[in-house]
Amino acid sequence: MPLLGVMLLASVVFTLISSEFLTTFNIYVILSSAALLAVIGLSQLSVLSVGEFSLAVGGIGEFSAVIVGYLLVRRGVPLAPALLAGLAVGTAAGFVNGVLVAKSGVSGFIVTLATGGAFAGASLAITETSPYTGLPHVFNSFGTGRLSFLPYCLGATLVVAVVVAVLYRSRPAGRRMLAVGGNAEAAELSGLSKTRAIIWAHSLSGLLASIAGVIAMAQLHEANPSAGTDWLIQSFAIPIIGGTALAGGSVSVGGVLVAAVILATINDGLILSDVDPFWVTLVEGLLIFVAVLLGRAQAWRLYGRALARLGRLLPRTAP
Amino acid sequence: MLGRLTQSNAGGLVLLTAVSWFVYQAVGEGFLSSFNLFTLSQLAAQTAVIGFAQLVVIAIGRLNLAVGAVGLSVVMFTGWLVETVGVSPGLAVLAGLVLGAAMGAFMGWVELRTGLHSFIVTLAIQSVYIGIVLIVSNGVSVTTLPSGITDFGSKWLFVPELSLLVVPAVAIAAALLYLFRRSSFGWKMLAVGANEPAAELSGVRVSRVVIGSFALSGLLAGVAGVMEMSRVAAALPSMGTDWLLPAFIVPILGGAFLTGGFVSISGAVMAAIFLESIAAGLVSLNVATYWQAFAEAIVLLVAVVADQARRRRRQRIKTGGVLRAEVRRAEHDERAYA
Repeated sequence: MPLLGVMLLASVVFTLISSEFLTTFNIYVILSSAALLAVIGLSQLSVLSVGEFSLAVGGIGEFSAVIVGYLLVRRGVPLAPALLAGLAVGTAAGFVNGVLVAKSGVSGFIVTLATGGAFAGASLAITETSPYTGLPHVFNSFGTGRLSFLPYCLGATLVVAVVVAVLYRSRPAGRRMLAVGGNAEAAELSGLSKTRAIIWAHSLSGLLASIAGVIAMAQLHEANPSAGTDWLIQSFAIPIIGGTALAGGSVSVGGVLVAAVILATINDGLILSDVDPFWVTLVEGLLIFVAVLLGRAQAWRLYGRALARLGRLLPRTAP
Repeated sequence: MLGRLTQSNAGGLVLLTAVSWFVYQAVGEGFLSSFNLFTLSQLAAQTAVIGFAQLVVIAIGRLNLAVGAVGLSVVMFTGWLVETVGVSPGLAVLAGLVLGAAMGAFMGWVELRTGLHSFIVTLAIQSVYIGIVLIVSNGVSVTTLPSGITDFGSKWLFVPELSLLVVPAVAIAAALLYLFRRSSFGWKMLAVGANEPAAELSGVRVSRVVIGSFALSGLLAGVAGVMEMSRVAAALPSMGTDWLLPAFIVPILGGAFLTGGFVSISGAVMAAIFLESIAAGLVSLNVATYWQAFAEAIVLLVAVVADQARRRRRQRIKTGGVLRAEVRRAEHDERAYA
């Protein structure tokens, strides 16, 4: 709820500052940037669910996009198989991360830092740093087409979000990941494999990162090898603002969607208010703090309420 | 001594580096040329200091994702002081380093006040720092630096194969060795890293150690920044963006525990030399520049994973030995009772 309050407040302020804020076109701009941000956030969310980090979201995203671009532009492969190949590559990249993290004993932080660097390096190498352009028309219009204020790519994001939400709410694989993230020892004692959960989480993260890469590619109309450079902080900011626990065990897919819209609104508003674009960087950092501290304040309030309830109960039960 | 070497990875890294030099010289072109070695020493010196800036926070079991951001801030501030304000270079660098230490200390303070994981604190703050630097500087680089600063990066030390930049790196390595081996503050840092509650209970003021370590990290990030500024002879607003990987690989490959409590200075120095040797070697092998970032990341990944496997094996042998001894003692006891 405080999230929606933040969003309303920001919208009111920006509407007052800029007359262009509440136009159909601007709402479309915000929503299409949110559509990408949400998938980036979901990619990190799936690793956070088992209590791990991934610094490779951007690397996998741009790598998958480059593969799709290569197949489409250089090899003349039709759109559908090229997209499937890109998503498969992303999933495989995530799988490799998962196996390395779960089996090697090296901290996931170091593993994904190195593999993220490798994927980013490979994308630069394959494209020789110049983006693949001339993508199919259908694909481009998926990225930038719209129905009034609704971008087409938002549809893809919503489908992805629903699938991820169902996975974590009611599918065994999702529940297992959350169980391991919540308390790895207890989960292992009740027969759940921590290794498997970590591999699952990283593979899912890789798949989602490649979907984000494809969406970014459709929006840019090119497969850009450095499209994912800025995703690191965003990938953490969105789930954290949305209320996903850093320590694992609890995720909020709805929170990710709202947080993506908030971040997109604020970025857009800052640009419309004609301030330095560098402010966006600063605000993203500050927002993480505000969000985490707000989340904690809520936890404290709940704790206080529980204590008060306990306090009311105690005298009555006492003789 | 031998045990120390094997635990810190320095020995293994010396061997690996030697092998890589041999291969590069045999297969590639001009790896051992004095120009190549000079560049290698310049880069290795700076990479070592970047790694040290991370090492001092890893020692207390924290992470600092803002090493690059602090380095950038220090460099832009120093450049501004020299160019716009007209402060003498020495004083400007000093002021820059003080700013770096303060920026580091601030992160430590925020971590303590909020109780959040240092990963999140430093991730968020690095974004804030970079934002402020870019807003204030308007993203304009400083390119008219006085010769006092730029000479330092281009001069030799005794021989044309060694850069003068090696001097600050070695001096810092020596100071850190003293810190962790001989000074009480260094021991307290390691104690906090190994077991924070235990350290607190035995009278270590954890908050001081945390703020002090982060300040030291900020100071070292600033030194690394000034080294890069004197090497490229400019203060660029894009600096520090590619520091994240070396900052972590140097201490970790050197043998430090990411969870805190153990670091190795000699290991970190060798890791920096190894890392830059790999990069320089790829140039001499005429690997297309585009593939270098990829190849480097893969080599480092393999090195880290192999190192971990080796550590685990040693651990298993050790515990295996202990277990066998236990079993033998138990059998002995049983016989004695019977």
